[in-house]
Amino acid sequence: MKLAILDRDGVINFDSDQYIKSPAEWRPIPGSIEAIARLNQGGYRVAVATNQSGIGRGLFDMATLNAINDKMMEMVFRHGGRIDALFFCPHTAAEECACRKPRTGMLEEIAARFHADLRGVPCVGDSLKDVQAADAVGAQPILVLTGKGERTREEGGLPKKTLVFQDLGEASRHLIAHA
Amino acid sequence: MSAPLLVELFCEELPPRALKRLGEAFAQGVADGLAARGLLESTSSVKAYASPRRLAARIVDVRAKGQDQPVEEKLMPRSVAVGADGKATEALRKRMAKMGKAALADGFPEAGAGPDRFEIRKEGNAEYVYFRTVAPGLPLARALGEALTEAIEKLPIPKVMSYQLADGETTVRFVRPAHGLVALHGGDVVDVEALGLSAGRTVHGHRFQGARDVELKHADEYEARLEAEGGVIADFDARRAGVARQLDAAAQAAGAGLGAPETCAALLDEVTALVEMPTVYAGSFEQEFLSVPAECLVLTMRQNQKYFPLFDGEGRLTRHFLIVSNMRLADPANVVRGNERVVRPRLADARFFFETDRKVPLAERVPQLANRTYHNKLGTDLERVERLRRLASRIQALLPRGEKGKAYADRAALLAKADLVTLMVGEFPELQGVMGKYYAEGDGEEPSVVRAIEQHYWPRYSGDRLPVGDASIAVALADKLEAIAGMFGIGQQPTGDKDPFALRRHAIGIVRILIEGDLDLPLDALVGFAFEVFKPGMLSDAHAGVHAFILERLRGYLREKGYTANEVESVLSMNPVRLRPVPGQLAAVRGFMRLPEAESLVAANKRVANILRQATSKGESFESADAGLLKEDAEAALHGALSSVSAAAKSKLDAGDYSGYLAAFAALKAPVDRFFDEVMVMDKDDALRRNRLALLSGLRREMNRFADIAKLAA
Repeated sequence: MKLAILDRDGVINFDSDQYIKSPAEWRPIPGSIEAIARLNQGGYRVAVATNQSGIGRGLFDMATLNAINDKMMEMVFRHGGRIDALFFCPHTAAEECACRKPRTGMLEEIAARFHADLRGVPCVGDSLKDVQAADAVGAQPILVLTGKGERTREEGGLPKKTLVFQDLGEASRHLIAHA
Repeated sequence: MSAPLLVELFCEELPPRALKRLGEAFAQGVADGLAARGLLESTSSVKAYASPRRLAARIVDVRAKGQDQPVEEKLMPRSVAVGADGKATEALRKRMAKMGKAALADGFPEAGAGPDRFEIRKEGNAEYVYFRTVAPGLPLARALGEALTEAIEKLPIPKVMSYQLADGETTVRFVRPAHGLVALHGGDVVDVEALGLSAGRTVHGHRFQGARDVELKHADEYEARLEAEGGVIADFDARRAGVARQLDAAAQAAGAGLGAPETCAALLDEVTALVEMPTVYAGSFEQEFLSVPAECLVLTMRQNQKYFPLFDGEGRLTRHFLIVSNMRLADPANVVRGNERVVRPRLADARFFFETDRKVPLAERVPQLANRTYHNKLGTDLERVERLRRLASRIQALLPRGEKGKAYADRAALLAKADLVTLMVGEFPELQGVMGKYYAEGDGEEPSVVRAIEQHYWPRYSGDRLPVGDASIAVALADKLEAIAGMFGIGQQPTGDKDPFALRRHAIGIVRILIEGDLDLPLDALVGFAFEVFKPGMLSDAHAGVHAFILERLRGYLREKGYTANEVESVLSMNPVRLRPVPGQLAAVRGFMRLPEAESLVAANKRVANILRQATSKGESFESADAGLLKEDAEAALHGALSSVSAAAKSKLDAGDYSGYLAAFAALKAPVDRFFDEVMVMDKDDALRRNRLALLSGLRREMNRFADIAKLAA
């Protein structure tokens, strides 16, 4: 079984500094939904690992997060794809939990759920935190230039083996072509 | 050989609210499954474990192999099974062949080799052929496998999750993904599978602190080694007690208290279900937040943050709170600081809601209630408020201050629901009424109005306080009566477990306010008022249904107070209109039953009731007894005794002395007994018969003014 782990905000949907607090604010980046379906059709199971400190800050509640994710899941489904699991960290940085990226707790949970070895598993994100977490568990860090990606690349400090793509669409085509 | 059995299912974090129940159901399910298969001894007992990441059971005295169990099966009537020659018929042969015992049929009715037997038993008029044998006991591994499957299927899972096994294909449905199974019988691994997992002997410790793997040598090591090496207290109750102990100690150290235990109990259960190695830390927030009503801060801390706020000696909220952490840290400064940082925005929200809400007086919010639908057949919340105003005013007229209190009751009813459109109540619906009180106070409303806005929701739960003061009582009764009348009037009465509008709670509230609040108001009038405030045609007539519904709650209320079903029935079967005297009447009934004359009088009443019913059904009519028609001494004596006793009893009753009233009738025992010994009621002479029926009817009427004594027959 092949596994791919995606960040959500800035990779699948347009991000906002004001957080994504409602289903209406959740808008997919063109091509990202198709990219997930493409990964599925290429034999990948797709898991999402996302920091959602808006929960910990009380900006939105679980019911809202579920509603937002339902919207995403349904769009993916309509395009013939499937997100197999969605893991999120509800904590704020101040809580110093083990799950918030760049920590590796969420990725390890995903590995346990899928009985998978994280080595070489593509982990797609738009921030340094995403690629650092991926690097720390021996996964394949992938940076996309959507969301905060462009700025992340400029600021540098990316793990050495990071691959960089324009967006999730390009990353998915690369993964399928080089499977 | 018996040995202790340990079974543990290791999972991802289980839903906290269901955890304790899941743990108990799992352990009991496994134990029941094993017991049903003959694997348990009479000395066996089961202990349940439940932590956020595991459900487990330890069962002592479990056999390695089940006991052989006698089995019998009813096969068919003898007439079908046995031919004229006394041998087995084709039918019996086929049946036995199906069980792989064809040879046994050949030898019928002889027993086979081993435990197989035929038996013929007479049942009623027919005879049946039974097959009896002994089923060999299952080995533990098989029995446990079956017991586990059953136990897992029967778990009260609130919401099932689907996930895939390691093969990436097989889908499993369970409460949360399971990652490990341990099954140890004494020191041996039991070879079972469940949820796609094979049992082993390795348990896993705390997620962050403690050994990742602990290899158990024996089932008995589970609890101790999981705690010592794994950093996990697996026993739910022990963990809860530990949290409670630490909370008490920390509160004491801070010179503060946790508030009423019943307000913390649910939270204590919840945090116990969230941590494997509980540790309590203390944090605090800025003094300035204390300007917000304590209820808001307490609620947001308990509900959103799972913190335990601390109170000073006078019960006032302090700026200190306790956190139950899953981590035991040498230096908890970071955890405490992190928690303090996350609670601040919550408190700031509460303060923002409070300050924003206060800018608009409650009275100005009332029109906004027109935008909220109460029920699509019963109109908006504003329409409801108008009904509450009219109803509260009518009830007020019956209360001690009477008409003079009407202005307050009306004002309170007008404002009672206005806090529903405030930000704070929008965020925390539990604060309805409480916020109304604060906002009304800030608006300078009358104290009795302020109190009524909060207290009209009372009593909110069993054992809760009752509203105090006319306006509070008037609106509280109005709120409850209107809710019940409205829902009954549109056919939405509660059925079975379904009571979405909490009408039962409303009804018990009415009962308590009338009885415990010492209000002698006529229930039929109250119910009548409630129906009258609805627009004509809005409701269908359900007066009788509502009255009966409230009496039904009264029945439960009185049974809870320890009165027997017969005692309660004796009074409630009279359909009392005033509820206030009912407890006194019941006490009198109970006292009456202790009198030596009671048993015989109860029997006589029952007999009289039967005679009258039969007579009525035959078309007899009888008014009052005519002294001139009393022929026998015994009937004249009863008539005389009844006249003098009922006069005395009536004066006791009028004075509210229910015991004295009933006790007065003790004097009738002898004349009643004599009457039945000597007098034939159903005499052939019409005049005599009617007169005797009238005498008995008078006896029954006089003696059963508030309780049907006949209902007390054992």
